[in-house]
Amino acid sequence: MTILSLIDVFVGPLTGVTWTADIGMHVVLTEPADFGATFVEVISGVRKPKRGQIRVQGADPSRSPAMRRRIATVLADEQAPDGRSLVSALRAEFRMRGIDLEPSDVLGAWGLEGWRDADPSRLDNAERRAVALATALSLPSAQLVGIVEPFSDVAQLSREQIRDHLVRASASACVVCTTAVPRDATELGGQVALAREGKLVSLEAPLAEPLSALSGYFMVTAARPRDLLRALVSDPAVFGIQWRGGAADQVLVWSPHGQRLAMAIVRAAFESRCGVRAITPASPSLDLVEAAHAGWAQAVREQAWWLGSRPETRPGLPWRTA
Amino acid sequence: MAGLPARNKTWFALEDRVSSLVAGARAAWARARSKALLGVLGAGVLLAAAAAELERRVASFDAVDRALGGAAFGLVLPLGAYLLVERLCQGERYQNMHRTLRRSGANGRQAAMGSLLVAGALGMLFGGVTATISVLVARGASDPSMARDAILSGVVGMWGGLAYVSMFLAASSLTSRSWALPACLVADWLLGTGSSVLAVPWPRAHLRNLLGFEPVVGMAQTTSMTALLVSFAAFTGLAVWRTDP
Repeated sequence: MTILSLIDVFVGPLTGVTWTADIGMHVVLTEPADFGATFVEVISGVRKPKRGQIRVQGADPSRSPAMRRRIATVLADEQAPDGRSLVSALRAEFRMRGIDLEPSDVLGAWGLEGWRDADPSRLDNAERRAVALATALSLPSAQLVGIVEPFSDVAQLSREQIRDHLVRASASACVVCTTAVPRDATELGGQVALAREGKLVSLEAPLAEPLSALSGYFMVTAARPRDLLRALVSDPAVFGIQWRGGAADQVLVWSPHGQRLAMAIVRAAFESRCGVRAITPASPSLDLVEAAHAGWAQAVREQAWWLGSRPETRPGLPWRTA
Repeated sequence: MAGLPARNKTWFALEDRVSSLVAGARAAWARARSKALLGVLGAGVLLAAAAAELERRVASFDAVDRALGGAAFGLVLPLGAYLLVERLCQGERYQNMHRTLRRSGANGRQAAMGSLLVAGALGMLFGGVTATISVLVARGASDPSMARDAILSGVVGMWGGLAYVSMFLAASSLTSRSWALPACLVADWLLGTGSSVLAVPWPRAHLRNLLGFEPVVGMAQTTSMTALLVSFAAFTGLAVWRTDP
């Protein structure tokens, strides 16, 4: 049964998004981070689309307070709840949702009991997101859970704790997580949709194996990127390079062999004297994710064809007969 | 969904509205209840009292008019209302004040009305206190008409506070740009001191009329009082209408 439905939605970076989701885990992999933030604001009912339709269980969340009570979200920028203390603010929220939950129990279950008497206006964004996450995943009535970057900028909560609760929640609710980090998407599992040019494209298979082949990804910031490029392009350890050209000072370099790639970068920086300012690990771009995924999906299809057309072959060795 | 044991309650429509109204009022009170704001508003009242005392010493004849028309309604009341609304909106649009409540399932418009009630009450209190204290100081304890004048001026101050707060909230609901509220303040200062039709929307013009200064487009004082109430209703309606349900 469809829980969430977007039809030709236009708002901010969303330009004509049409997408549906039912109960389970759904990950929206985005390249511009504000796509994910806007997406969750829109499905929460906080922001209205300029055009198009959003329905959660058939109701427009921006117009239906009753439906919003069954939607739990964690936004990129969480507003401090109003209240003398965090416990009183959460108590007011639970009262509004019509839920008989004790805030101290919720905070305690997530290891946040030390914050119960904190002034909500003094919490920073990471702490507010942690509280929002704990609240969202503790609401028994939530039918839609939307979270921006579940593993980033969340104070005190561990990845394992968050992931376990998300997986548990996805058993009975539609959980939508948006992230710009493909590794986080892999870890969350579930159905993946890529945000491309303001629209969503659903991947047919779960995003998993393709990314493990691309372990070395570095973004190098250099004063003279052209010199760095010349030095790197002939190095056998380098699998691929991307540079926008012009005044851009960042070069993306990748290879399946991370350590060899790191040595190649250092060697090239030393030889070319290109003035390297920073070397940071980077996530693969969505183009590469798509390409890797398409390559993997093609390999799976070919394998299946071989197994289907040659019944005497053993799995993994399609070209040998029994 | 896995979680802590809970029992869902069913809310009836009237309870929904009341709960959203109360939630909005609570949220506004939580924001307004600030020692810094209280200190600044208190300082404003003291400033109005000090100005009234100076006016009485310079020339007691029309000290009340000068105290009310100058420091009290000319400076302290509009600035105090401005600071109150700034504190409530915290640099965002008025509608965003209710974002957290709306996410929890509150009706945005009901919550906006709740917060308007609190903001309006605080504006009225501030306006009434500022006007009353100015009159008490400007007239002096020995003046026989002090009590009557203080009460009447207090009522005018209350309506002025209400009008100013609603004006600033309406301006905040139109745009989140940082110049919106200061622009409103400046426009009230510049246009509200006149008596042409351009002065009609501004609370300053009607407050000056109620104090006995030049009437706006020849309006009677009762008409100015009605205009203040109408502007409050219009500004309030705009702020609530701009908030999503």
